[in-house]
Amino acid sequence: MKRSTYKTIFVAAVLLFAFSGRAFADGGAVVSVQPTSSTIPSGGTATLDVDISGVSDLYAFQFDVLFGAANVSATSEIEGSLLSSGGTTFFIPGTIDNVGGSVTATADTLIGAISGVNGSGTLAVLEFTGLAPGITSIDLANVVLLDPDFNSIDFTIQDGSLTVKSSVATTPEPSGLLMLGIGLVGLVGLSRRKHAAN
Amino acid sequence: MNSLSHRLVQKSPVRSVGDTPTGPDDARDINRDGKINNLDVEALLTLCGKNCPSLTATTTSLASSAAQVQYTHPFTLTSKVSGNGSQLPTGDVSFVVDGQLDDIGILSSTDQTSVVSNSLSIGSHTISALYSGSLNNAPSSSEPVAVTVVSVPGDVNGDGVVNCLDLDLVKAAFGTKTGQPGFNPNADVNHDGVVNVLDLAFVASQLPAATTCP
Repeated sequence: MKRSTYKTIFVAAVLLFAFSGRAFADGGAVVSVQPTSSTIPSGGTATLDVDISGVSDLYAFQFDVLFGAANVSATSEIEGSLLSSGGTTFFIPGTIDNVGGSVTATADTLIGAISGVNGSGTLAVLEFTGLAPGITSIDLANVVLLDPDFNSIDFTIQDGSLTVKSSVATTPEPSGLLMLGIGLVGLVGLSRRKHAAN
Repeated sequence: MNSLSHRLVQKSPVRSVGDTPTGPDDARDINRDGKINNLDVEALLTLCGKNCPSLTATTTSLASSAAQVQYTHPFTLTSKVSGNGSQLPTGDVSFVVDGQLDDIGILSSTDQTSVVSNSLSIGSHTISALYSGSLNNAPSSSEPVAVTVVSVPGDVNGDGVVNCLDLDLVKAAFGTKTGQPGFNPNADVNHDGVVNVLDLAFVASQLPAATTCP
């Protein structure tokens, strides 16, 4: 391999690393939907976490979740485990709007004059039900992270997506299989006749 | 002693604040409002004041332990009555808040009296002390003192304490903005026009650590 080729690969690798790890390079927290992408059948349910990683001294947070109401509906939201690991909390589940496609004003806070939590974990857990087939993004909006002095904590967002597939089975029906079998037998029969005639 | 002064001293409201007039002609009810109270003492002061014959002039001062106090938190009002006669001022000092009698203190041997208050409403108040006088000392009143009562930080419902009920009120109004249905200006603790996590976190931080709110 030529030296220029190595150079190109090296530069590409550096750029790829720089972009994929931007949040970590900035030293800020990352708020994300996990898993990033999921697939559920129509009528099925999916549990998505709103996670955070790399956070320092988190005392309270707030966020909205936006989704395609034509494809999925939100059914519930509960508190995640991260903030409550630092003390007692007061959690406000978001308001679910399955017409507009949003879960707005989810909030949680520690109680008392105490330090915030550090590291990574789950802020909240949401459950969705698949409706019509298609792909919808699960976006985070109006995210606010606060430290114990009510200062904002920097962060970046990683949205997610949900794919809803038709619940109708795609495997051939038994009758179809039978007809296919008969057809094959017929073809074999015809082929033998031809050979016999020759 | 002229006749007016004689009548004022013998039948003054000075030592009978709180009594009920014996009738419409009771001289102690100077302003004829059917009550013998500080208003009558003030009227007496207007009529003769420090120059009431045979009475030693007095001076009443008033001091508050704080010019600004939090709602329901106690503060002390201290009044001192000074005279220049051989007879030290004795008797009562009325503490009048916004024109209404709030409390009464009895002068001690140091010619002063103190009362503790924690019942004033949120806002600015004008307080004065009114010495009702004695047989030898003329009544006098202090200069007004201003005391401002402010709400307790995070006390959304104004009951003087921060607890889970305040968090519930923030929760009820959470996400609303000024003018929207459900907006509660008291829950907008930082007065930025929206009830959000800043308000929630502030109220929560005022509760004792480890408090559990359902």
